[in-house]
Amino acid sequence: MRVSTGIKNLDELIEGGFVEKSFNLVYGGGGTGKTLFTINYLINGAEEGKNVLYVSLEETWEDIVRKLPLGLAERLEKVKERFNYLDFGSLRPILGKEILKGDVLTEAITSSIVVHNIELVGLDGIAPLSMYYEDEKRVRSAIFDLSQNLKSYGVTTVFTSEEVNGMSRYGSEEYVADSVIKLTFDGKRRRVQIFKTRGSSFIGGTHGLEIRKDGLEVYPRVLFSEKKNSNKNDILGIQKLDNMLGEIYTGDVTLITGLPGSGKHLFGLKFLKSGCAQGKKGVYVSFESEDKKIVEGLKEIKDSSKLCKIVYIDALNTDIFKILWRLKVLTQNANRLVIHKINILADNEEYRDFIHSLIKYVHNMGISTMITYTTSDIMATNVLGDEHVVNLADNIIKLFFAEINGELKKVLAIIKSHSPTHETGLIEYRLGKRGIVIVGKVEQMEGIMSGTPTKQLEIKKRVEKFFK
Amino acid sequence: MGNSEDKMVRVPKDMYDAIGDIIKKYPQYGWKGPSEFVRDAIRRYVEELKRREILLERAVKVMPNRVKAILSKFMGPAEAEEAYEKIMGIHEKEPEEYIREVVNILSDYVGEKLAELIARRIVEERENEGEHGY
Repeated sequence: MRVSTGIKNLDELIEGGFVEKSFNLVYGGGGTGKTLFTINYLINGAEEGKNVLYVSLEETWEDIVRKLPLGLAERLEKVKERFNYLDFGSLRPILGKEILKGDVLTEAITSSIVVHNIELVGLDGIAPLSMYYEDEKRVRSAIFDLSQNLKSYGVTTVFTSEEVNGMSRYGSEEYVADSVIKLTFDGKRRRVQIFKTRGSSFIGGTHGLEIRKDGLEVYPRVLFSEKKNSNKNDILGIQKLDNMLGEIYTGDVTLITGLPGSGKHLFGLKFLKSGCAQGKKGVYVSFESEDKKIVEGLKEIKDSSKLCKIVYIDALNTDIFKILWRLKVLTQNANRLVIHKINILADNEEYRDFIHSLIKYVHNMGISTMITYTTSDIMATNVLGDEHVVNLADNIIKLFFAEINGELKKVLAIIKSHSPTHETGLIEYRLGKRGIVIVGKVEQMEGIMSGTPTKQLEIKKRVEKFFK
Repeated sequence: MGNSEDKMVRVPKDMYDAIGDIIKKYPQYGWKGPSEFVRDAIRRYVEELKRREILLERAVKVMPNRVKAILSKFMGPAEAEEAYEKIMGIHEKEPEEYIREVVNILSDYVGEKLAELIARRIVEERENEGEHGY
């Protein structure tokens, strides 16, 4: 049997929650959310109809309640009949360190367990135990005895400890605990990491964590999905280009990479519109500020408001794993996804996890996806984008400018496609009032990719002249 | 020396003999004879009774409210009120028994060890206050 952690999305990472009657450690530095984790766990249990007990060894209950986020405080108020607490923090000034003696604690806690028929216990902040037990070995022994006692009463416990030099305070809590969860906060990002779950597996690595008004929410670094993509044929919806690209399939990821002004957003818009025209739901996610051109562009489509959604995400100020989770939520029942300017995230150290998880997810779910990546090159170069998205994309189309006959023309190249017979020549395109217009292959020119195009004919003449 | 207001009290012979033995055994107390010993003993006993009376009075007067205040912060007002009502229902005449009963009631809520710590602390608080003339 499993007991929910009460933290949104965390149960999925540990096979459904804590093992019933287990002793579980949550540790981390100051301000990482250990107390809120514990209270969130208990409130959720109380909401499920269980009697719960919160034991504070450090902060007073009065202080804790005063500092609770509003929504969590409201949730607590609704279940206060089942929410019990023992505030040793308030007793310490009166009774001194005697109350921190293991058997005093155990007896007080187990008495309350019996009286209130408690099922879940939160034991918050074991650091003060060292005030009574100066020898750390005795602290460890006291924690072990406490864990055994609580287990014998059949309760499922979360206990918290401070992080000291990367380990829990006494270095032994990990061994006593059936599961170990570490919380971190670097001033900007909150992270949760699972180190151990006795008797079950877990999803490793660091996951996003947010303290919301109504409680904690985890944003997993991976998106769970069962493969349901059956690889049906699909199209981008851009005339001529589809033929040149060859076959593409549902769930494909197409990377449109190019410099500013090359019309990447219009490729995305056209891709989305084409889906809408077929009755497919689509989402356009932009990592830059609101773009009126996109809004106007979608208005042209009948029923676009029902089928298409435009979302702006402040990528620089939003946790990357929260973005990942939002993409999952946004694409529920969607067939198409456009992510505009993913390069804004590319400097994030967790970007690799993000892009791998996202692409695996859209592949599995059959969500045809177009990702745009803005490069900083002025003319054509060999820069396509960051290695992760380039390696994982199914189709790659590069947009660039080329000076042809004294004019700056827009040119695209299909770098990668499923189809071995895709167009290998360079294709000129224009951005008109009606969107993208494929002009055709750039004929009789060489050296465009290198930035110094010359007419093939001229070269031929020069070669002939040379040999003469 | 006695005066006309003094009254006679009879004691059994073996007790009288025991008094004599004690006077001899503990000369440092300076009892000049059995009469002085008995007067001293009665004085001490009356003082003890008064002390116990005060202790009981203080315990009855202070413990319910103090326990209520401590428990209210420790585990919430509902249980504190419940414990308070139970303590108010104690009718013991001896202070030790009264405190024992308080501990028994508290034990149901917080366990015996913590109950004893709380009760002891409350009694100590009152004694300290008494010493300081509160």
